[in-house]
Amino acid sequence: MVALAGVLGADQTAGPQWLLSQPLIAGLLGGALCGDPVLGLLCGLVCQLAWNGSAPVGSRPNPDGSGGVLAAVLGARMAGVDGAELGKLAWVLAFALAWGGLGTVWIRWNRRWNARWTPSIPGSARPALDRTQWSAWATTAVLASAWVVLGGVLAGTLLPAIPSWAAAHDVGFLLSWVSVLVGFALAAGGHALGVRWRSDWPWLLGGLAAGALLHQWLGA
Amino acid sequence: MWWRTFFLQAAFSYARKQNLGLAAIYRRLRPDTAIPTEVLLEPFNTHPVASAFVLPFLALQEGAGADLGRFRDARAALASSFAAVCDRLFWYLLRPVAGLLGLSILGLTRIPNREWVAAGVMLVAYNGPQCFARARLWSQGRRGESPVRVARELSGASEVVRRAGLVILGLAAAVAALPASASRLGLIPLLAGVAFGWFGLRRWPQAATWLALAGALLAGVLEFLLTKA
Repeated sequence: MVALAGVLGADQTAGPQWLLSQPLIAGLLGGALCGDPVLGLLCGLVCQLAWNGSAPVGSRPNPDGSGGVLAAVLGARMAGVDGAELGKLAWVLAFALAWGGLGTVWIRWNRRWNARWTPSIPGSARPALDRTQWSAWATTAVLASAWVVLGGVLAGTLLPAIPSWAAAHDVGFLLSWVSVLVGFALAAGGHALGVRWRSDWPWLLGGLAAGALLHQWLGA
Repeated sequence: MWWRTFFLQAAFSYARKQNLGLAAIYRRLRPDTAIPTEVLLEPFNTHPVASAFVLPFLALQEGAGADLGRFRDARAALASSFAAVCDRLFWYLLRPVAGLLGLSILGLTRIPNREWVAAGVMLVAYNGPQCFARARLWSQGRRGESPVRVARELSGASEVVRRAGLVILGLAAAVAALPASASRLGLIPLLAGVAFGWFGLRRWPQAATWLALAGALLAGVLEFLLTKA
């Protein structure tokens, strides 16, 4: 789990940026590793819906998508919470979002620290440049792992101590939250694509029709 | 060598951005370069995919006799213009579209192991085009093709991806709305989420995390009201 957290944390910016760090994928991998794929899927799904429209443009850090999800899954497993315990599950999902959002703290620190690698490169030796670059990558991975372990321990300590989220005992609350987040992700997608209703409606309508057909064929 | 562009940002910093990545790859491209390491380590910032064009193009220009001044000018001009084009294509369009495609597959219940299929489709939808683009840009950079023409080609690809993204957005909306309309809660939470996201993200574009957490409160209120009704 620690190695996975490092690789996925580095994938966000340091490389290779293959989207392995997207919350849905991180949740599936983390859940499979911890032996609770449903919990991993739920954490990944909620965070993916929340952050699907976030773009890491320029120096702006995105939330730590993989870190939040993996810390929540790890903490939930440490506390013995599983996907069927709805009252606690809502707290696990909220923790995944909050820890991922706070993850910008280590990302900012890491980027400030990375500036220190440059003056340490002697002369123009190529091996030194390569070595320094890989050292920086490894440092990012170690920090990402540490953030997940810290979050996991925090969640594992807090979850048994706090009472179940009363409203979340009913599955309706979680369904409502996921529905709200699905709407949120659709709106974020609309923002990202710069939807112009007057000219774009044929494409959207085509997608709606395709979605309706697919739902009939594969979804119903 | 082009695979090294995947790690261009290994030492990304606020002060010098991708300078170390540029220097490490450039030194491999031109081991006998006359450009001092201090110059290579000056701040450099572009889109990681765009670096697959910028780096071999700069190496080719130096081989053709470009001096230090022209190297610096070309680096600055190419980095910023290609960053603008590739940020839009890969970060604003392809990345969220790949996510929406994966999420749509999660909503189609008859696909076995659909969560893994969704993850696979998401990865292929993003990495297929970006790996192809990197390989093509690398080859174009090595041949010294016109940066204006290459940038125009990428802009054209952006419009294609945007249109495909609009279709996938419509598809995702249908896949989400149809089961929701048949459920006990109906479409109200979904539509509330669309309105909440549309106006919330317009007002606070950086606050997706906290808006998503606030969505739990909205869901709680809606659930209470709908249950009462």
